[in-house]
Amino acid sequence: MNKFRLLSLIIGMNILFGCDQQIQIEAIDELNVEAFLYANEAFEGLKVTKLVSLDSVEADPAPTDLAPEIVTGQGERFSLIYDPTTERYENADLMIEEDMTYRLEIPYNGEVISAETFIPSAIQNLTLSQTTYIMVEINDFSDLQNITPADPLEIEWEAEDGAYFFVAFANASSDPDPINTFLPADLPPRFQRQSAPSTDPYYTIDVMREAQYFDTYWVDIYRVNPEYVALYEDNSSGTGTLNEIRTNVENGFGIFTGINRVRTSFLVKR
Amino acid sequence: MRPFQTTFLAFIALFLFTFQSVVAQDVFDKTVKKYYNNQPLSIIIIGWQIDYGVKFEFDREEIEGVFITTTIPRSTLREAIQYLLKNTDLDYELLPPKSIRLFPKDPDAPGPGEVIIPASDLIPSRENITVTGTVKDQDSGESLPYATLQVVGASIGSNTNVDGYFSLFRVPSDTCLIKLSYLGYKSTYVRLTPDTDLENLDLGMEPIGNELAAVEILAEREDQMMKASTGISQISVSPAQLVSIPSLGQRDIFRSLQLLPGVSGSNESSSGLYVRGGTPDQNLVLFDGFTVYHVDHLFGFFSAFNSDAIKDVQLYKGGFEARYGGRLSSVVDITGKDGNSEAFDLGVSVSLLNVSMTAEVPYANGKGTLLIAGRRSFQSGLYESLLDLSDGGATGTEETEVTTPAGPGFGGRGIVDVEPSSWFYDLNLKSTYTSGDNIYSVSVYNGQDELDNSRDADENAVRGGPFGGADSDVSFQQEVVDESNWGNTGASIGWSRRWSDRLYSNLMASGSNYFSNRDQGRYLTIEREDTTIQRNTATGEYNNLLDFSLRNDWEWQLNHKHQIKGGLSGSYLDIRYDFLQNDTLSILSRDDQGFLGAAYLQTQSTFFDQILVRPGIRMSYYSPTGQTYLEPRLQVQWFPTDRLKVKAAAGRYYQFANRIIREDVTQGSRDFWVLSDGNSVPIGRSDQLILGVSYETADYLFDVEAYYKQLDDITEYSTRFVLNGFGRNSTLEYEENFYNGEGLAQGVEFLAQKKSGRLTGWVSYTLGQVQHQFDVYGDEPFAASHDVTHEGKIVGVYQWGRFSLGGTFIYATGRPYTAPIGAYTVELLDGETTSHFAVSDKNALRLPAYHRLDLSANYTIPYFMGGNAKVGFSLFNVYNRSNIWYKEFDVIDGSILETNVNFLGFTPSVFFNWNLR
Repeated sequence: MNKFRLLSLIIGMNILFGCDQQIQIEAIDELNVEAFLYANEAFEGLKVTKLVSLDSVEADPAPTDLAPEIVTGQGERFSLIYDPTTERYENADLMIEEDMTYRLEIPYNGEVISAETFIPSAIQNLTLSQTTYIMVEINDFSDLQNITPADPLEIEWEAEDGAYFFVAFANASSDPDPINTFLPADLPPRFQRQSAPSTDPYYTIDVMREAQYFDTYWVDIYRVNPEYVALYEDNSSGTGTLNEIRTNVENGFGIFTGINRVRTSFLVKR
Repeated sequence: MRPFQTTFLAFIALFLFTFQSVVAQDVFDKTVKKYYNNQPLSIIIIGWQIDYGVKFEFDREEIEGVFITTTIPRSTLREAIQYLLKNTDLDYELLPPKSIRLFPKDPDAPGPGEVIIPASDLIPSRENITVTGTVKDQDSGESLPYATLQVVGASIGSNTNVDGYFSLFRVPSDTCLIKLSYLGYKSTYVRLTPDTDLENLDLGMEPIGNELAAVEILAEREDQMMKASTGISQISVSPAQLVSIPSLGQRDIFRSLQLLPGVSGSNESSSGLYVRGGTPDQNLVLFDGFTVYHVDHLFGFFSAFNSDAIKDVQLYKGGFEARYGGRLSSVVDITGKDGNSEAFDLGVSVSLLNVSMTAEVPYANGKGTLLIAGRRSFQSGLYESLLDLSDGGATGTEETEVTTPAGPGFGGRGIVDVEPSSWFYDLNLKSTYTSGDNIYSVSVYNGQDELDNSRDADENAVRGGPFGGADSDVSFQQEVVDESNWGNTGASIGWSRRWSDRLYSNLMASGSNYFSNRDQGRYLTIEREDTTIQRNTATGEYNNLLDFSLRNDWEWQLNHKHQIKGGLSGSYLDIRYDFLQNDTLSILSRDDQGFLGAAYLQTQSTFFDQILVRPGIRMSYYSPTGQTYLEPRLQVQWFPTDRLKVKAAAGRYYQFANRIIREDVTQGSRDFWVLSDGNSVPIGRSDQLILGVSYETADYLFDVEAYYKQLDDITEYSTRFVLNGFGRNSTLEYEENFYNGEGLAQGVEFLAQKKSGRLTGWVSYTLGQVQHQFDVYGDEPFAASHDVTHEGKIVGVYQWGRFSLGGTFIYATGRPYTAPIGAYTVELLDGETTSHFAVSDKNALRLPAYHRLDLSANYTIPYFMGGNAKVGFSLFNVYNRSNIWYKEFDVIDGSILETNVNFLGFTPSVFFNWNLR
């Protein structure tokens, strides 16, 4: 009797342990598109890649024989041709205009991958609290003690409420003189610093701390669309947060978005 | 045949076979009902051997000439033997499995495990009487709630109420034998005598000490850790006995409940209970009458309740009666210890997680008791292991299993060593004062967790990974602020009064507060060769819940067959939740208040001594919706024989406060409570149906229950970026999204329990299914995140003298999850390349099966430093199974990197308990 019961137990546990559900996921064949449309500039090109399937080592090569088109809000169509040197689909005739709608269409696998974006207008009334900074070259410790603190640079502009911006600034020269000679000699000649997208119509730069060289600094204020901000904020991974796909592309993935940037500058000199 | 069906049938076959084979051994519990008029004992013995399969051992000369004249009422064989021999000079000893030894009676020696005055010595003076009184622990004077009283030989019984009061009606005479049983206590027989005070009968029960096990193993003992036979889907748990099973450091009530059938045991990261497809927030947790909204210490690896301060735990897995409400699935009703009313007592407990101390002080000549219990954690190696797991190893040095295709150029995973600071504590205070028929009590609970996970790091702090240390051409500075604290405070003031032997009332005012705060910020600067990128993000999350309640409950025992219970309650609920980004952007802000009033009425009636019916109705008024909600309930139990019980329950349940999970694996999932508003968060509703059958003997219980639970208007939550409008006026809003849907939970539970003897424990199996359907995820239902198809548990405790050896084994189907089916990268305007995923259908995949074996050994030291002590160790996850908690995914150079974040591996722990008494 005991042997029979033990046998039953073993059989039962074997069945229990042996019936894990195995679910196979089919390989995915979808496209990722990337295109940033800068206002008042020529179209930079469309990058198309294939998605990597979960069970593959790397993505299949991006298709080069697609026939994408960009349709303007006025109904004008621009066909994009693949350029193997840049590995993008391009059309040199396409100039991006602000306040215009653009639509991307790519026939693929019997469907049309599409996305639509609007080119935002430029910011207005851009002002800088200061355009020139005079700073002391730091060669030894006594120079550090003689530094006079400088006011931070405050940049302000105007745009519609709720618009998104981010700011990037960098020095312009390729061989500038460092402010602080204590710093390593092999410092990169150009520092670029960028902020995260924000709705704040202002930005502050602590020039004393952030400027590394005596040089002219370009400041670019990018006005970006909400679809870009959504993508930028999507840094999630893991089984709990995979349900939200932040893309404005239908039947595909990626980003197709308009940008308007305005440039200004300030100078840091001895 | 599909594996699911095959497994189901195989388990049924296994269950039935085990059931049948064990039942066959238990002759002492066979039912006997006889009348003998001057029959020779030798002939009766032959008849019993034939009829019941029992074997008698005796000296033939000693039974010669013995004639029996007696009436044996319907009773078990072990009881019938007393009737049979009561007018003889013979005594007996039960010799399991099926022998009875007869020998000449020694007038100075009581029967085994019993002190009974022979009925033959007494002449009844009163008949058809009512007996009322209190059942208490004979050592500490602590009243024992929900203890069972049974008049031996008659189908008359009762249970004590929460204060230990009982009323036994229509007791045949004042010489009857009453059997007392209570979990964790030695079954006690009390003979009424004509001198007994029938109105204030104080009955004492002796707690089971392991030191007694070796010599009294044959006595009847309710020494199992849990009792599943009390009602329908109701399980009683003995906190005192939980010390025998393996634990992570210290015995843990909620961890132990997870070993019961129907309660998910595979979720190590939450002390909350997933009961029959319900979520932890659908489980009402009451502690001395006030609601506890959060039961986790240390991110759920340890529960918030100090076992040393708990007297009784009742778990209602479903179909619960009308006096409980406000939850969709289940109830855990915890009664705190009153404290020793006989003498001062002191207890100290030390484990690898915490140190705790309990003091019990009687006052007012024992009328009053005071109990103070406190626990405080300290950061041992075990504590830090659990802490590391709490955030998936992000703050510690936990190495997770990495499975990645052999893709090119994977730079490795950078690991930052930090030393998070964390602690938790909890305090219990309870005072009870008894004055005549009045009991006044105050109970206070306060518990809190703190975690400071803030750290600064730069490339010099990183071992390996893409930054590659100080010589890399990439450098970064990161300041991370991560401070969390959460906790509960609850208090109740109660007055209970026994107005008569039939009428009892309880008035209670209570308050409960739960709070959870988290401030998190990440300030990162990455410097590459020619680029510096700044990324600053900060979030703040604040949840605060207040619950003030007043309730009045009445019990009216009409007669021995009918009882009425009713009550009124009112609760004011105030729940705030704020989720801020960058200190200024309010992502979600809710501030809800509501009044919840409820009235209930339920009756309990017994028909034909075989059928117990308990209908009830609960009516709730909820001010935010201005509506009244009716909740009919019904429980029916049928006892065809003394051992067999057929049971059914059905009911409707509403839930007005919901705990919502905001899933975020990278920064740790958070949950928060919100009040239903009838719109975005509707009033949840469930309809339950339970059918079952159980067969119970003195030593074994076999129980099967099937449940069906329809869930309507359940809510999930997610914050999402939503693009509104297009073109110039387009906006991006971080919207709160409460998704509403429905669910279905159904399953069958099998339980085979061995209740007494050296080896006790149970084997259980649950076949279950939990499906949800939310329109946002599509038309088809999908497996809920806590759906577990198969779950088997084996729990065993072996008493060996002063040693107690315990083992638990859990097997569960892996839980469902949503996985990426593809990935892509996008180069952002700042030059950073970010990874994104295309995902499968909701919960389309399952993690590998979960299984774990834990072992423990305890040793009782009866005399140690003026008291008694217990020392033991546990081995958690003995064979170091890598059970996956969740998966993380990343894209590195075109390959998907899959990381398994695992639960705790092999972990030894020790504890030491000392008690003055």
